[in-house]
Amino acid sequence: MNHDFQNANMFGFSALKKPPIKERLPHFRIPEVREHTLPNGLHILVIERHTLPKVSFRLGINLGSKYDPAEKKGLSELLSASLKKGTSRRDYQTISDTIESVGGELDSDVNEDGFFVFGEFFTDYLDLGLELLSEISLSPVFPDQEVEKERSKLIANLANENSSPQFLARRRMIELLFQPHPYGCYKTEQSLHNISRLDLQDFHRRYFVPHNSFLVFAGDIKLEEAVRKTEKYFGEWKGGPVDRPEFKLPGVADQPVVNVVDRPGSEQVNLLLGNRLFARNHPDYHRMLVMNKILGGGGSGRLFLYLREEKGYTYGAYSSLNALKETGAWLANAEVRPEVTIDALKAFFEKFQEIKTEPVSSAELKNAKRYLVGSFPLKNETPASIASLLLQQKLYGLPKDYWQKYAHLVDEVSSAEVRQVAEKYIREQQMAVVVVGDAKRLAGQLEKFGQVEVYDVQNRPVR
Amino acid sequence: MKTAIIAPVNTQRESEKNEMIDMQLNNGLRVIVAEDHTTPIVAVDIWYKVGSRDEKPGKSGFAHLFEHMMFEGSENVAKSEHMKIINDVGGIVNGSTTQDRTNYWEVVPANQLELVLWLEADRMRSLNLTMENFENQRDTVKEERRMRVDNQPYMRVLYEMKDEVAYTNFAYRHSVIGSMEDLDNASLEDVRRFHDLYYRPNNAVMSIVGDVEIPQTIDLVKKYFEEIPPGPPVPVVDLSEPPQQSEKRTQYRDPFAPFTAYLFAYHIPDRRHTDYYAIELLEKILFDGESSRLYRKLVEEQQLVLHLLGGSDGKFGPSLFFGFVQISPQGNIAAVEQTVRAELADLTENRITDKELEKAKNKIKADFYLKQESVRARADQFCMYATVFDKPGLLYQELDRYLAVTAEELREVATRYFTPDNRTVIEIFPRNEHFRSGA
Repeated sequence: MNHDFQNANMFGFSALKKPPIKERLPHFRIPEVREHTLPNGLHILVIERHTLPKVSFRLGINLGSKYDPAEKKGLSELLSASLKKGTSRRDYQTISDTIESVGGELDSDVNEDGFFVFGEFFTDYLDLGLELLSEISLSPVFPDQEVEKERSKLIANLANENSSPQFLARRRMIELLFQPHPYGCYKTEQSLHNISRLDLQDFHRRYFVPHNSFLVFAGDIKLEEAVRKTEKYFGEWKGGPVDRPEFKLPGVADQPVVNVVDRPGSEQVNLLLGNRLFARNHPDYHRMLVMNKILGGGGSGRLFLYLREEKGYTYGAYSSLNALKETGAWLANAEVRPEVTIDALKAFFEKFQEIKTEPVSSAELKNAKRYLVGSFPLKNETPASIASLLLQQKLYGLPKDYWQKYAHLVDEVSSAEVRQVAEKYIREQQMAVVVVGDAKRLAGQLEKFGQVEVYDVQNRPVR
Repeated sequence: MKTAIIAPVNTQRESEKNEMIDMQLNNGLRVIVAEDHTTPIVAVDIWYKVGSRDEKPGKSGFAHLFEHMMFEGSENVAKSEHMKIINDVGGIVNGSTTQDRTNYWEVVPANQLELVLWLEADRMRSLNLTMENFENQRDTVKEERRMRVDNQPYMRVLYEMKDEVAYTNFAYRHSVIGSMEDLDNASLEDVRRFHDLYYRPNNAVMSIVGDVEIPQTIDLVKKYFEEIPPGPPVPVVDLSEPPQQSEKRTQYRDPFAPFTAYLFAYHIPDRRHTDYYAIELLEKILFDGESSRLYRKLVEEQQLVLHLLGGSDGKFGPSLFFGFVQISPQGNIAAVEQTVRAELADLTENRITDKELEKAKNKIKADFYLKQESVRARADQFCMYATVFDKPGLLYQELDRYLAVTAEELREVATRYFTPDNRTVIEIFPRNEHFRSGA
C-alpha cells in the first residue's frame, strides 16, 4: 500500500479520544440452585446447565486437615491420596481404567477446612461416575501396599516443596501467624511415618458421614434425576453428627518479626508480609475485600502500579485475603532482585501507610467495587466453578442467600470503612515479614523491620 | 468386574447451534464472532501472528518484551491504563507470547464490548513509547525470567534446554523469555519497527465470543478497526528443521533440583500434518491419567518415578514430542530409560487394542468439550484454527479427525517418529546439596 495513503488514514482517523465506558453493569443472577436433603442427612444441590452433554459433581465433607492430630499431620492428605486405591469391589487398576475409559474424571482433594471428592462425566456415563464416587467415598479399603506407595510419594514431595521459594515463604508465614492452631502446622517426614492404616480407617469412619456432607451437581442434569441417582448410590450411607475437636486461637504477635529463609543460590528474593485476619464469615470481610482490591488486587492495584510499573522491582506485587473457617490471614507478596530487597519492603510499607491515612477517592472506590461485582460472573462462568461457590457457602457456614447478596454487600462499603479496616487490620507493629533468598546476598538492614530469625530450607532455625 | 460398554457419546452441542461468523475487513483484519448468551459476558481475543520464532539472533526475548510494551500506553491511553480501565468495569485482561503468536485478551461484562474494541484499536494504531517505560518493562521482564526460569527447579531444562539441544534452526532453538544479555540489547527503535511490521491488521485475527449480537458487533468492529491501515506483507520465517542424523544426549546440573530427572524428545511434524492426530492419541496413551502406560509402569508398578508429564509441545511448526520424568529416590536413569524405550517400542511393534484406542479417543472428546466451556477458551480456539488452518470453524469438526484414526495408523506413526536417531535426551542431576532429597 502507498505510504502517503497510510498517513492520510492515520490522521483522518475519527476515533473517540475518551474510552466509551458504559456505566451500567449487566444484570446477572447466580443460576437457580435447587436443593434436597435425603433422609440420612446428605444434602443435594443442583445447578442445571444443558449446554454441554456432561455433568460435574462435587461431594464436600466437613473434614479439614485441621483435624489431623498434630503428631500425624498429613493424615487427611494421605486419606485423600489413598481413597481411590481400592474398594471392597474393585482394585485401583480397575478403578482408574473404568474412569478413564469413558473420558471421565474422579479425584479428591483436601484443604484446611474441607475434603472434596469431585468428578466430571459425560451425561451418558453419569451413573457409572456416581457408582464410583459412592464406592471410593463409602467403602475404600486402603490396601497396605497402595498406602505405602502414597506415603512415600508424600514424603518425597516434601523435598519438592522445599525447593520452591513460594512454598518456603508460605510455610514460614503460616507458622508465624497461626501456631499452635492446626492451621499453622505443616506435615513432616516424621508425622507422615506416624500414620497407620488403622488411623486412615478410623478417620474415614469418623468424618465420612452424610450429616454435614454436601453433594453438588452442575451441568446436564435435573434435580429429580439427581435425587433419584443420589438415593440409589448414597441412600444406604449412615452416620450421625460428628464430635469434632475445637481449637483455641493463638494470640496475635506483640511485635514485628522478620524470618529469613536461607535458600542458597536463590536468584531472587521472595517477600511475603502478613497479619492475622478474621474468619470467612466475619462482618468486615467485604470491607476488607474492597480495601484489598484497591491496595493489592491484580494489575490495577496500588502495589502493582508502584512496585512494578513505577519502580521495576518485580514482575508482580499483590495482596490477598485468606479467610478460613476459624481465622485468616491478610498477605502481601512480591519477588524482587536481591539488590532492591530493602527498597521493596519500604515501598510496601509506604503503600500500607497511605491507605491507612489517606482517604480513598470516590472514583477509586467505585472502580474497585465494579471490579468485584462485575468480574463475579466471568470468574464463575462454568458450572463447576458455581458448584465450588455453593460448597464454600455451606462449609464456611455463610447465609443461604449469601451469593445472591454478595453484590449488595460489596456495594455498601464506604470510603470511610475502607480506611477503617486498613487501620484495623494492616498492623505494621505486628507484621510478620518472610524473606526467602540467598542469605549471603541479603543486606544487613532487615533488622529495622523487626527481630530477625534465620531458617534453612528444611525449616530448621539457623541461629 | 463391570466395565462400561464404550460407545460414542452424544455430541449434540448447544454451542454449535449458536451463530458464528468469519469475515475479513478491507485492511486484512480477520474477525470471528460467535454468539453465546449463557452468561452476560464477552471475550475478545486478538492474535498477532508474531512470536519468538520471528526474532533474530542477539534479540531473543524481544517479542515477549514487546508484549509488555503494549500495556505501556498508546495515543489515547496512558501507561498502565489499559489494564486499569478493563478492571474498573469488572473485566479481566492479559496477554501472552509463544514461539508462534502473541495474544491479547479481555473478558468483560457484555455491554463493555465497545470499550474493549476502542482500547485494542488504539494500541494497534499507535503506541506511545518512552525510554523510561521501556527500561521499566525491561526490568520487569528480567524479574519474570528469574521468577519463572532461573529461580525454579527444572524450568531451565523444560523452558529452554529442550529446544536448544533438539533444534538446529534458530527460530525454535531459542526461548520465548530470551536471555538477559539479549534483553539488554533491545532498543526503543526495535520496538517501533516491530509494531510497524507485525502489529498491523493484516497480521492479526480477532475473535469475539459471548453475549453479543453479530450485526451490532460487526458494526462496532468496523467503526474502530476499518480505518487502521494495513502494513507490508510480513516476512515468512523459515522454520524447517533438517532431519536429525543421530541421537543427541547431554547432562545438566540443576541448582535447585531435589531429584534426578530425565527428559526425552522426538522431532515430530507441524500442527497441520495428518500425523498430528495419531501423535496426540499417543500422548493420551502414554501420559494422560493414572491408567496411562508410562504412569502405570513408572510411577505405580516400578516406583521409579515421582512425577511425569509429556506429549506434543504445542508449537505450530516442526514440534517435539517429549517426556519429562522426575526420578524417585529408589530409581535411576538407566532403569527409567529402559522402561520408556520398551513402552515406545511396544507401540511400534504391536497394534493397541480397540479398548485402549477408545479410551484415548474418549479422553480427546473430554478435552474437546473443555476447550469450549468458557467464552475465552472458545475465542482462543477460534484464533488458533484461523491462524494455523485458516479455518476457525474447524473447532467443531476437528474431533472427527481424531476419531477416524485406526490402531494400525497409530503403530505406523509411532514407528515413524520413535526412532533412536530422532531422539534427544537430557539427564538432569541435583547440583546443590541443600535441595537434594534427604539433605
